[in-house]
Amino acid sequence: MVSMSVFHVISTEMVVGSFAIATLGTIICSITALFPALGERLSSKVHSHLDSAAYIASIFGVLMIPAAIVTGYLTTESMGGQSSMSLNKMVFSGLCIGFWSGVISGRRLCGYRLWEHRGLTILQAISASLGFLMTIMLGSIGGQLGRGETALDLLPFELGIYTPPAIGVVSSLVMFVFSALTLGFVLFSQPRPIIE
Amino acid sequence: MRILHRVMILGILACLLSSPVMEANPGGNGDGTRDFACGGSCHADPDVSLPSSAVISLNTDRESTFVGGPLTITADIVGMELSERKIVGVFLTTGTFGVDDSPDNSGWTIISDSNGGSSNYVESYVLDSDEGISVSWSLSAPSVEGITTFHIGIHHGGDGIARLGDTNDQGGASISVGPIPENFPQLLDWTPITQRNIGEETVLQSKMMNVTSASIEWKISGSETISSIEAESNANGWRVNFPTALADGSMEYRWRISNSEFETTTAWTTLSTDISSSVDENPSRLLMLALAMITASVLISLQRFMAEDLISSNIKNNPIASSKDRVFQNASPEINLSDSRRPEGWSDEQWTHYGPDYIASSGGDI
Repeated sequence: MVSMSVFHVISTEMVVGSFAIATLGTIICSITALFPALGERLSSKVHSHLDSAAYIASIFGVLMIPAAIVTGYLTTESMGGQSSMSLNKMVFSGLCIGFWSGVISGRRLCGYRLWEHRGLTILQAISASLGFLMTIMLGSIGGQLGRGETALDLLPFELGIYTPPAIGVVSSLVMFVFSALTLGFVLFSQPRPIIE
Repeated sequence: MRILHRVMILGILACLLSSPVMEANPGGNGDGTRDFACGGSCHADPDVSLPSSAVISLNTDRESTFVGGPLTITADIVGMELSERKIVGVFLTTGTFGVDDSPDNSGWTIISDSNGGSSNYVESYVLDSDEGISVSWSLSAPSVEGITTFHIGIHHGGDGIARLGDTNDQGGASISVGPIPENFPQLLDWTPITQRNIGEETVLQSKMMNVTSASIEWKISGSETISSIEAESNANGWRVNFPTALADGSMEYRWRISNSEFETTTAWTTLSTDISSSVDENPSRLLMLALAMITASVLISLQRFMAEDLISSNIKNNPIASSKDRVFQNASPEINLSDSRRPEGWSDEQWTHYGPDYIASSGGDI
């Protein structure tokens, strides 16, 4: 019988692979858009294809995150229950979903014209980079849980991934309600520009 | 007759399908007070089991103790085969004959085990058999003098079969229990704390007899570095405030007590901080959703705000417009959507994007 950890590995590899493509595409598109000297070396076709690849890869990655979370949760359960690091994984997963949702939202809102705007280009690059950083942290915690070590142990400083979030039910509930209201306000009250 | 046949076939099929479910306990049995015979039908049956390749090292913190006195036993186990579940069950026994061989049958009391309980059988997950596992027990000697020989036994899986190992060949570890020396420092009514919650201050307090100085020695499990905290004497005995736990894990501690004649320590007691038993997962789930929503909100809001520039064509510095070969959607007024050179089947978007390149490659001008 195939254990749940195998499915978790499959789903996480798809998430990490998708986000790697998305990050690479977004960063290259951003750099070529921000620095015309570099942009001249990249043909419009390649730029367009990188933009499309990044867009599709980020959508696929976000769609795969729930699968990674569910299989990860079941794997942790079969390995003896939750630990502080698996709770940290939940928190980083939230940030990961948030950043990548932002990347998709920006590309969906502005289309290919996103790269015409310096501010939006920088925002897109930062969102993708932070999203990928969260993905790396998630993978690192997974490595620590599964193998007892991670390549990030080579870093000369502590990442803080071993300390669980010290937050109570009430505080987290308040944050949840506040976030939901904020998202609702942004989606339904803030005017959505139509980019042609 | 035909119905009987079908019922029989269905019954056989049901038995075949249910056989994996009835296959022993590959997921372990959980910690508990068990004799070594427990699980013997699978792990000790030569038809369905094999010996373990594990190397078991049995160590004690002293060779003798006194009636009611302390003892710490540590088992370091490496090189075992591992099943897919990576569970290893470790027994502390007073024999390997399998029946009535748990230490309580010999009058010993297990004060704590490595998992923060008080069981002679503990299960642990082993990620790397080369690193192995270290299990320790803190015990209190029986009320009668004598000699007890302790053994370690292990049950685990590996290569699809149950496995068993023990320290019978090594002879185990013999501990003699003698009388209490006169004026010997002792703890009275001492109930060790073996579990605590994260962020919670832990107070260790005990009444003592024949004690003029007391301290708590502690170390992180698996570490050799020992720290010490001096105890304060008050009306209720001797008291120490223990460092607060910041994350889940386990540590070991013991009292060091002395008077002018004697100095002794209690056994190492394992103090576990298990987040699964103390912290609710729901706050983390809510936090995950909150962070996802708030991050997305901030980004979407910024994007909508900045995208206004694209509508009003108010982009002061369009860096990519200067790229000599780049043509963006609606950024090239020269291309004509009704151009006769447009290949059949090309959409407006394709023509806008790739049209200039297409015209250029076919030698034409826009």
